[in-house]
Amino acid sequence: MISLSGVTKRYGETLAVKALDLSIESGEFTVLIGPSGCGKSTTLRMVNRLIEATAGKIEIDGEDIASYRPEELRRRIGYAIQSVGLFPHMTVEKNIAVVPTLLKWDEARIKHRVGELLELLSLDPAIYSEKYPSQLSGGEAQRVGVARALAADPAILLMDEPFGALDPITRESLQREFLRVQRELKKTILFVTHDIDEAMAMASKIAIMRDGSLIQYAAPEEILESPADRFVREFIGADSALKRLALLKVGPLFKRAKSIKEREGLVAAKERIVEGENLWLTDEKGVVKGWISPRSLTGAEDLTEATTSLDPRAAGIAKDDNLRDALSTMVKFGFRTAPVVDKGGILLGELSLSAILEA
Amino acid sequence: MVFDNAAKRRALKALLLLLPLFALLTLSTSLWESAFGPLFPRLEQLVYPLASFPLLVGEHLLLVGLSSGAAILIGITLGILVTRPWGRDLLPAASSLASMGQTFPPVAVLALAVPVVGFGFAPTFIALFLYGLLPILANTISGMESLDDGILEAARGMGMTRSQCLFRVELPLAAPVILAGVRISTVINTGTAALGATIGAGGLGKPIIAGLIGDNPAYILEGAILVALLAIIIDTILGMVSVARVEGV
Ligand SMILES: Nc1ncnc2c1ncn2[C@@H]1O[C@H](COP(=O)(O)OP(=O)(O)OP(=O)(O)O)[C@@H](O)[C@H]1O
Ligand SMILES: [Mg+2]
Repeated sequence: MISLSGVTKRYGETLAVKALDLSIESGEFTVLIGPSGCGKSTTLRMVNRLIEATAGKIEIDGEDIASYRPEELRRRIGYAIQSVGLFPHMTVEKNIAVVPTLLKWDEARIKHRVGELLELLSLDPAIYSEKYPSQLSGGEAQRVGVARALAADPAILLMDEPFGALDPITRESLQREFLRVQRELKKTILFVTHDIDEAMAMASKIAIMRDGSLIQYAAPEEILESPADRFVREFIGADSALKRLALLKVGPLFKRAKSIKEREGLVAAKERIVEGENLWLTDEKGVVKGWISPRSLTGAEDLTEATTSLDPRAAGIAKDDNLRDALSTMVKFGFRTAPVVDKGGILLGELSLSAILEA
Repeated sequence: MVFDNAAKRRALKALLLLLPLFALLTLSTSLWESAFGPLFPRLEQLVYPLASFPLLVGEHLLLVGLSSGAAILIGITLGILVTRPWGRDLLPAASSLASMGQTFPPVAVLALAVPVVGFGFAPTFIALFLYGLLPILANTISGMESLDDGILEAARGMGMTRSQCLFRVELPLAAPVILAGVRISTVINTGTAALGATIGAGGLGKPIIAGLIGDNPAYILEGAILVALLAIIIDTILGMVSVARVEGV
């Protein structure tokens, strides 16, 4: 657990951070967010004492960080930054090994740990260990940066806009990957960003700062549902409802759906269909082939004529998709009700527009 | 990092040629006589007679070695000190000194040193030392100052002490620039050391001065060729060291 109480940083006349109180539970993914210059990086760096607080107290697991030697403290805290800061004269392996080396781990243990971390971050050790930073792409370099921060298995990670310099596609894939890593490792993370979407996607708690002060500190859903003031409302943007949908999963909202197999024929379909609902056409294995509406059944010669066919890989929704993506798919295909399918396209149920609106 | 093995091989090949040539010219007087005989038929003395070439080369190397050695030691140390947080106040003074000093001709330094310490080895040593110090200081400062802030922040943030940061990160990264300064400084000193002969410091400048005074172009050429060869050899060796550094780090 990290707790900041009354933490202040003064630069001459300006107060970069003003009497900040913030308490971060172990295993929590806390995102610090706010406009440029609001004191996010300053706050972060006071936790590993790259910057010394002017006033106030910071404790880690109940111990005042001032009681440690700064170097000792920093070796116990992972640190990753936007510019990555890989050492260009060292191989990827040596870069990742920096903190274990400082901690005087033996060589075999370091080697084993480096391989483990490269694999954790989806970098093949055989390919990447001996590369130099100049031979890596931006995304690869940042993966190595994260691996390096994790090297000595610190309980706490400080990350200052680690994905800020990456293109949107790479950023998103790294965010996803890092979330997977975090689910596995359960670190206590303090993560700075000024991208609200990144905050919403990653955080278990968001701390919104302005002018060196904490404005709101709450879970993402709560911030979207009840922003503390106008500043927060403006900061999260006009599409806060959509952002909220992005936090919710399809899983708990979809219902069982009625379906029919091709060989069952037109008569069975007419018997099964209910006014105001669709029927999903599937093959023998249950893979969705299309949909049948009550209107299309009237006057149809056979089942095929009554069916509007669809490709479940494009138009299907997965159980762990979020509602924003589901909504997007539905708008794209003009569905009031969309099929929920598994990886193989097999029908699991259906999600209706009204279920999303009520969520 | 560039792995420039080709450059190293070229340098090695050049040395295999230059070193025997230099040894031959230093050790054999008959070679000079047979070369200069037809060139200067009216000269009575074809080879500088007052000291043997090996002795002169030795004096020259001692002068350059001591002054450049001191310049390297002090220059790099000063450069490191003024780029530390607590030495930063001196940085502007040090960098303007380093860049200004290089516009100052070495002869002027010699002329200024003589009244202070007299003739001979000492003033030449002082002049060469001061003159050699400046490019090393300048390059150490610029090598240290050009380091990426993110790299230094990462080094500190991961828990390196100031000295670990200096020896494991800053110096290895600044090394190519620092070594370039060492190379320039030492090569210039090798040539400039010949001026020491004017105030009695010995070395390969002696035949040059004697030739100028006694109107003997053979002496001048002998001194000049040996100095030039020595400078090229030193340059090649130091060039190889910096290539090796770049690879090794
Ligand atoms: N070394 C310093 N000297 C003086 N003022 C500073 C110093 N470092 C930061 N500041 C000031 O402190 C305030 C907070 O800076 P900080 O770097 O924490 O902002 P930030 O929230 O991380 O901004 P960004 O999103 O742009 O990175 C800014 O107004 C900045 O100008
Ligand atoms: Mg910042």
